[in-house]
Amino acid sequence: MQSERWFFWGDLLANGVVGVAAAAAGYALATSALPVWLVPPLALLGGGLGAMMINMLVFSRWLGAMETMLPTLLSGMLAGLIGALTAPLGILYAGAAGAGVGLAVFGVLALLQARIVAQSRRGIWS
Amino acid sequence: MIADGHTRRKWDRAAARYDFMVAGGQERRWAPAKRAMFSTMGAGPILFVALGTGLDIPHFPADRDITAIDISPAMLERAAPRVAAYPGPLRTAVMDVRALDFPDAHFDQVFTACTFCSVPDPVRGLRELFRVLRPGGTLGMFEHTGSRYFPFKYLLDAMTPLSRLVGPDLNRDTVSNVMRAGFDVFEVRPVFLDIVKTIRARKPL
Repeated sequence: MQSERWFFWGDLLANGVVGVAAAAAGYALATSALPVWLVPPLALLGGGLGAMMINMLVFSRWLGAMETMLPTLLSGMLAGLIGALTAPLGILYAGAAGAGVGLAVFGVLALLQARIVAQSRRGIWS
Repeated sequence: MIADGHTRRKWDRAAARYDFMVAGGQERRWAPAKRAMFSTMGAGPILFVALGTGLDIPHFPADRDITAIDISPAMLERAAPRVAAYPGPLRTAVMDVRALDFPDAHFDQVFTACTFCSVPDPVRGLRELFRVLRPGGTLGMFEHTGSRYFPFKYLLDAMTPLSRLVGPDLNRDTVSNVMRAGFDVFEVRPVFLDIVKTIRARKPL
């Protein structure tokens, strides 16, 4: 059975990887011939759906579907958008920004989890 | 008694791929929380609702007196080897939780795992559990529910019409439903955010 540490690093890696992939997709959209107004919504949607696909095909088998589905969806959507917005700086910057977004989502959710656990101990359940 | 052919057919169809879908990382990740909850199983008669393919059976303490039901005959067929391997009395029956074929106050404890995300009219099902549980008896649930936090609340609401076609709802408020059915909730332990959790409740004396 995997330890909590295994899941911690697995979640961190999953969010980072989908962040990079979604940012690359956002970069590709921004550097394509698409109208500028169409790029942000497509990057948001494509990043989210792409991240969900990567999660379902790769990470959920090891890390659990529920625990990875929503974080990677969120990471993918935001990283797709960031990748499109940072496209003028080049693909390396876009990818790094995407990884940063994925790791930031992971961090925020870890804080939220700690808060929910603390509330639950005080009897705040809904 | 089967009150709902649609739900039965949905889970019969899902039976063949169920273990592949959930028996990997998800089950390993949830195993400690499930084992902790099932460790509260006592010596009296226990009802386990929605056995599925029996993935939870290895987490049950040995030698408990368990009756396990599921709405899907195909799921129970697949559960048969795990049922046979359980070291204790474990009986299975095809039954709809909303129309239980048991007398009032028949069980000391009731347990569910990822059940009330899928039961249509969940409060009706929970009221049936309330009926068959003896006064003072406990309900233990491992469930995934909706979330109260942005943006998860809206994402889970948006995904539910699709997820419902092949499996569960993702946006249930199960803690409130348990209270509405008449139970006193005395413990809720979050497993993943406020989405995956264990719920323990008691039927008032």
